[in-house]
Amino acid sequence: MPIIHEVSVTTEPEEIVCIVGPNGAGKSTLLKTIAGLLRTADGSISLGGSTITGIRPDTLAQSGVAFVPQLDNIFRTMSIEQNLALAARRCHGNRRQRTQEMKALFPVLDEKFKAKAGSLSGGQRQFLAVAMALIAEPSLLLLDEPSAGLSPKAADEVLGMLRGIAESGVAILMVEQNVKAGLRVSDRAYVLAEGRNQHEGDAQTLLTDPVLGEIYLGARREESHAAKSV
Amino acid sequence: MLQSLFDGILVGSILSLGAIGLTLIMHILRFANFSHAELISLGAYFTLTLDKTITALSSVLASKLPALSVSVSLIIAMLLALLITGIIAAIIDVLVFKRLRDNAGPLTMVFASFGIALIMRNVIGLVYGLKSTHYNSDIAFAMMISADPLLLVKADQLFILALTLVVMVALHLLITKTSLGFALLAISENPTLAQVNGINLAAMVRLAWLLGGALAAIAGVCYALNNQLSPVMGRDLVLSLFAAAIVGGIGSIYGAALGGLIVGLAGSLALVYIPTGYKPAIPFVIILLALYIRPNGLFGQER
Repeated sequence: MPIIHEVSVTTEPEEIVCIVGPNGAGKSTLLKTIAGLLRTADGSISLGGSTITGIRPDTLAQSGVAFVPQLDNIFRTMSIEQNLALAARRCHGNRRQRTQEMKALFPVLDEKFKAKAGSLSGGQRQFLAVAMALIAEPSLLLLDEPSAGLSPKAADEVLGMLRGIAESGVAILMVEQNVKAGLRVSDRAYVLAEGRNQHEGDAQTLLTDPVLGEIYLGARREESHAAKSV
Repeated sequence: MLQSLFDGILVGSILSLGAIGLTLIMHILRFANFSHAELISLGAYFTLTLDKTITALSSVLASKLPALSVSVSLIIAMLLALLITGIIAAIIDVLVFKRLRDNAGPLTMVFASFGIALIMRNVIGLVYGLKSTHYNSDIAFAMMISADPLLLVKADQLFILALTLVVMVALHLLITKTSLGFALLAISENPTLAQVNGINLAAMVRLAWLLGGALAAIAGVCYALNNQLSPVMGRDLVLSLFAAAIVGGIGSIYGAALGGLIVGLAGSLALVYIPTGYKPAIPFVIILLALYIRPNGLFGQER
């Protein structure tokens, strides 16, 4: 039985789109499928007008699709330099220049350039993961729960830089468990539940509209309360 | 004690070569390949056939290298055998394991690997006979390096140590200095992340089989030079190879190299204190200790 069905998601350049929904809704599955890591039983995925359904993840990575997994999104045993060098293999332009640009964008990576990636803090790891995704100048950036496991400060830093990335012409599609923080930085949002689209619209409307919030996100809040009380 | 230390390093270096392919495949494809050790036998026997063929074609190449029982033809045969063994390992993957990866689970692959091991072992027995044999029937005398403590070393053993060292250095250079090696390291650490960074998983899997098969073949030749060729040589080594991969940490090439040395040394040094009859139990004990003290091995990642 398919995990996701009747799902239609689009994102434009310079736009941040957030997918929210309860656990098990198929949010991460959707991103992995777009990234080419999972096969589709039906339906199609297109990038800039060309169909990319069924294309291998490594080919997609070289064609402008960048995916940042939620967990294990850096090579822990390698140095930051090696992580960036590996990601830069996808670059069509000047690899050295792009590495310098990433170091300028994330100064902490420059400071710890020779250190093992496994020694970085949670927020710094996420910066490295995003830098690895951005180094090849992707047209589509897929982020799977970028703030998961981070301190509130680090989560704000990571989500806060997304606007600048989008403005450079990148389309961002993100899954975020921190619903409020995710919607705050997004332009549009989709609510996914039981593997299908339940709502689509302006992120700020979803965030501020008490009725919509209650219908689509209230259940999630109750769930998280229940989880905490257990 | 010195003799045990030397013997341990010698056996350990052979195990290291065999364990590298095992650990790579185990981590990338997520299954324990019990047929990997049979590639050791296969490589050793291919070398035997090729050595005899080359010797028959050119008697000049059959001449021994100074002080060694190793001939030029044996070295050429080994180089050809490692290529053939690597290719056979990759073909077995395409014919058997890839189909199971696509249509069945890891457990099915483990059982299939048992089946392949049995087939390979028995085919070798069928073709070459069940009796053990040698590359060279000449008796090799050991040199006394030291009388107290006693240390006897054969020239062939020094050749084995030098060969494994050269292979290890070459492997290290492949991993650290080439783009291909870098990609292999990335795939062995995190296959998903490597793919989304533009690395072709299928190509790296083929490379891992080729490399694993080739290293196993070299290990087979070294083992046969130090002991003898036998259809069950792979079966005899399989537990030690798993122990080396587990101690080093699944997926770590350097871990497997160090794990091999640890297992070899432990096996050799333990015999100083315990009766020889307990030797087969040593890899089991090492696996148990590794899983108890450090389940992820020396260089392994947490799962």
